[in-house]
Amino acid sequence: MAVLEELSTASSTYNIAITVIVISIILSGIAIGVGKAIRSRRLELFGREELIQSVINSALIGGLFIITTTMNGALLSLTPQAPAAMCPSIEGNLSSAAGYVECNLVGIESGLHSVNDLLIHSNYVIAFVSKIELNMAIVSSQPFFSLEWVAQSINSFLQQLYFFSSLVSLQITFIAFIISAAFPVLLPTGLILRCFFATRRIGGAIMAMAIGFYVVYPLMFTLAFNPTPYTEKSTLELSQTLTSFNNRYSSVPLVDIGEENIIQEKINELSKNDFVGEVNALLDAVPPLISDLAFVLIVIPLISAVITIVFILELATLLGSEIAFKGFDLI
Amino acid sequence: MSFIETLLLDIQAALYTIGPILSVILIILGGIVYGLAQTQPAENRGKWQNAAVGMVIGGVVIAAIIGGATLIRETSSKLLT
Repeated sequence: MAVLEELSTASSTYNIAITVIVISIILSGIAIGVGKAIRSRRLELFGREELIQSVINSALIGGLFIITTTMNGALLSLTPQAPAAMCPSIEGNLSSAAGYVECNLVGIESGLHSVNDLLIHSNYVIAFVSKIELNMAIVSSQPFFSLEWVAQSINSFLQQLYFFSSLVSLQITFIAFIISAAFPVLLPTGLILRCFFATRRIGGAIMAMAIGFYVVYPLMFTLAFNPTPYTEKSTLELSQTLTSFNNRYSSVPLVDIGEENIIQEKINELSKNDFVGEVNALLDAVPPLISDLAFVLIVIPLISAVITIVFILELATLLGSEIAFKGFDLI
Repeated sequence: MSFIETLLLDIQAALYTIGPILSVILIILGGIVYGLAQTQPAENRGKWQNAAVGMVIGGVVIAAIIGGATLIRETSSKLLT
């Protein structure tokens, strides 16, 4: 909020803002005076409107820092205060709801990375076992041949998980951009542009975008991450399943494949240990994570985006249009 | 000082120069028109007088708003604080 603090004190940005307001007031005075002199009702009304807008803009600039800190405080009251398990640096990011969202997304990203690593190792074991072949004189047998399909399925799951990794990275970048640009840059810029009648609409739209993205967009996420992220349980379950699977079977591909007896012993051991059952349990743990990720990284952002766009359009109409006071015409 | 700031300050200075001149012109013109109104026949005098009064009021409004522009800005900036 350094730029906002700067805007509330004597600085270049502040000087630009107040100069634009003074110019606007002078122009409105000339418009009212000339309108009265030449009896142009339109010019006079334009001048009055500009004068009202100048007063409103001046009040907004004067109270910008207080408005934004109040808004941020109100938003924080909706943000959970308890640290989330997946959020690595929650304490440093509790200054805003967008910071809370960013922090949780970083947590999801790191969880996804570890799951991807574990799943690659598990898939390596499964793919290896599925290819084991025993040759006995005239017949040959491939006891875990059916697991080849499982390895292919895990490959496809991995592709989906990498897609979600990209998606979460994109959202982290977007939220980081919102944090660094919405209130500190876009809001003051919009306010300065709003001061002048020619750029009022674009100024109002920029202000609405800043408020919409900083205030409304992260709110749906705070619901999705509160009290704990949807993905947390499924990530944890899958990680545990994969870790225990890898701990038990990661040595399988290290057997001496030249020794037929060792391979046979390994096959017997895998059959006794219900290797297929464990692979099945592993396979069952992946879809819940994918559906949770799809909810948090696709459904929630889409709903948030729609709500934010509607909010921005409504607020842009309000901020970009003339705010009329009925009684002022009587003066 | 940035270019935009200098540009805006120049515009402000120009308006501060033009405004009072315009105000004085309107007030003087209003006076002349009011004087001329007295030479007009009774049925037209009202129109001329109205135009003159409008010009004088316009001039006074311009002077008042330009003179108080900084004050209006300062007062309104404290409305929300």
